[in-house]
Amino acid sequence: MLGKLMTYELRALWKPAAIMLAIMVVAGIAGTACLGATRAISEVSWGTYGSLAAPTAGNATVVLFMGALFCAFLVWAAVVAFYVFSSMRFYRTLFTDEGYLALTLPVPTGTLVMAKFWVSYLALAAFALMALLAYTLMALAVSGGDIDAVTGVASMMGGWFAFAADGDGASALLGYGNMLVTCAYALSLAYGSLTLGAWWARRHKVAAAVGVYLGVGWALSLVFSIAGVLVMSGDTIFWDFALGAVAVVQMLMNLAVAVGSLALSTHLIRTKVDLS
Amino acid sequence: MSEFPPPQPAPAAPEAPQPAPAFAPDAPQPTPTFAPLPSSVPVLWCQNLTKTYGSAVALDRLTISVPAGRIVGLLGPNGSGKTTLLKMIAGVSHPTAGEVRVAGLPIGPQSKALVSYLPERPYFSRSMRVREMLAYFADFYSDFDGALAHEMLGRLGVDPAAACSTLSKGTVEKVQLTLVMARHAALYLLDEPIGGVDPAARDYILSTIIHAYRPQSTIILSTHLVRDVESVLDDFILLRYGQMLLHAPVAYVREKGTTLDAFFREEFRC
Repeated sequence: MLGKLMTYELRALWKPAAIMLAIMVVAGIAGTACLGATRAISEVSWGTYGSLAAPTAGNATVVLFMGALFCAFLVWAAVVAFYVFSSMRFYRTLFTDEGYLALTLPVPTGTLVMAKFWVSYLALAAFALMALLAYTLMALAVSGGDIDAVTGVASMMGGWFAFAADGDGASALLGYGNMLVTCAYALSLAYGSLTLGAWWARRHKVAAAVGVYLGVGWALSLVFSIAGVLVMSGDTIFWDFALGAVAVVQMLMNLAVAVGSLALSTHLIRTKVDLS
Repeated sequence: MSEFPPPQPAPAAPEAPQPAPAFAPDAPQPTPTFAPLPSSVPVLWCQNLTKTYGSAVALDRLTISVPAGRIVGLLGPNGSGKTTLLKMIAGVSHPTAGEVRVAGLPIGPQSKALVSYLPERPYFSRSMRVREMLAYFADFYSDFDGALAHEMLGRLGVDPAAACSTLSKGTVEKVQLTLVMARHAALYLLDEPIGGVDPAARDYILSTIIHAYRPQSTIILSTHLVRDVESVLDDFILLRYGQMLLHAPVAYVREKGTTLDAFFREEFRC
C-alpha cells in the first residue's frame, strides 16, 4: 500500500516539481553566466582602469551582479515554494474535503503520513541538492574556477559545523548531511504543525499551524544560536570541539523533532482530528 | 471497554415481522468480496456513542445494532447527528466516548475495507479525471467492480476522460455515488445522497442505489427527505438532538396505518 500511495503522491507532485526545477535550472545557469560575465568584465576593467571604458564596465558589473543575486534568490525561492506546496498538499489532502477520500482508505494512518513524507522529502532533498549545485556553480564562476569554492559552499550548509571545520572535504560532507537532516526537520515540523492546527484550532487552522511552526522553529534556533555564540565567546582553544558538539546536538535534535512530529501527526490523525 | 457482541439493539424497536429487502436487483449478483457475517454479528454496532464539540453535544450515548442485509434510513432534522454518526462509522471523526464497531471490528483499516462511504460533499481533487478516480478506487479497494462502475457511468453519460473540473456539481455527486456503489462492500454509508438535487436526479440516485444493492450488504442512508426514500427502506432510525428516538422496521409505522413520511412529520413538528 505504501508503494501505491507514494505513486499517487508522486503523480500529484511531479508537475509543480518540474516547474520549480525548470526555474532553478534556468536561474542557476543565468546566475552563473552573470557572475562569469561580471568576473570577465572586472578583469578587463582592471586592465583599462582609468580609461573611458571603466565607468561603463562598472555599471555593467553592478547590473550583472544584481542579476546574479536575483537568480540566486530565485533558486532559493523555488526550493521554498516547493516546500510550501508539498506542505499545503499534506494539509489539503488530509484535513479538507479531500480528506474524506484519504482517511477512508483501508490503510493505516502511519502509512498514509509516511507516503506523503517520503515523496515530499525525497523531492525536497533533491531540490536542496540542486540549489547547492547551482550555488556551487555560481561560486566557481565568481572565483574563476577555484575548487575550494565547492567545499566552501557545501560546508556553509553545515550550520555550526561551518565554523568548527576547516572548509575541507569532511566539512563539506557534514554540510550535505546537515542539509538533508534539515529538510526532514522542516518538512515534518510543517506536518506536525499543520496537524496540530487542524486538531486544535477552531478557525484559521492554517494560521494557527504557521504560528506553531514559527514558534517551535524559532525557539529551537534561538537555543542553538545562543549556545553557539556562547561557545564562540569563550576560549578559542575549544572552539572546534565545542562548536562541533553544538552542531551535532542540533542535528540530533532536528532528527528527534522530525521523528516526533511525524509520530504526533500520525497519532492525532488516527485518534483526534475530525473532518469538518 | 464493553463486551462484544452487544445486547439486543434498539431499545424502542417494537416486535414486528422483518420484511425481506424491499428491492432485489434483477441481474445476478456477484459474490461479495467480504466473508458473510455470522448472524450473531451485527454489521454495525454502537454503544453509548457520544460526540461533543466543546459544550455542544452532537451525539448523546447512542446505542444501535444493525444486522446485515438491511436498508436503513437514518432520519432526523438538521443537526440531529446523522452526519456525525456516519463520519464516526467511516473513521473520519472520533468518538468522545463510547464505542463503534463494523462487523465486529473496531474502526481502522480493516473496518474501512468493509465500508463504502459517500460523504455529503465532493472529495475528489478538481484536477482529477474520472478514469483516474476509477483507477484510484480499483487500486485501493479490492471489492471495487470496475466493469460495474463503467456500466453505471455509461448510463450516466459521463466520459471517463472528463476532468472533474468540467463536470457540474450534480454530476460530480453522481460520479461519486457510482464509485461508492460499485464496491461490493458490507456496509454502505450514504450521507444525504438526494439532498440538494432535482427530482429527476433523485430518481437516478435512488435507482442506482437499488440497482447496486446486494442482499448481503447493508445500506445506511441519511436524509430528511423521507418521502423520497420511504419505499426503499427496510428499517429506520430516528434521531433528535443526538439521541435515538426509535429504531424500527418501516412495517412498524405501516401497521399503524400511516406512512413513514407522515410519522416523521408528526414526530418533528415544529
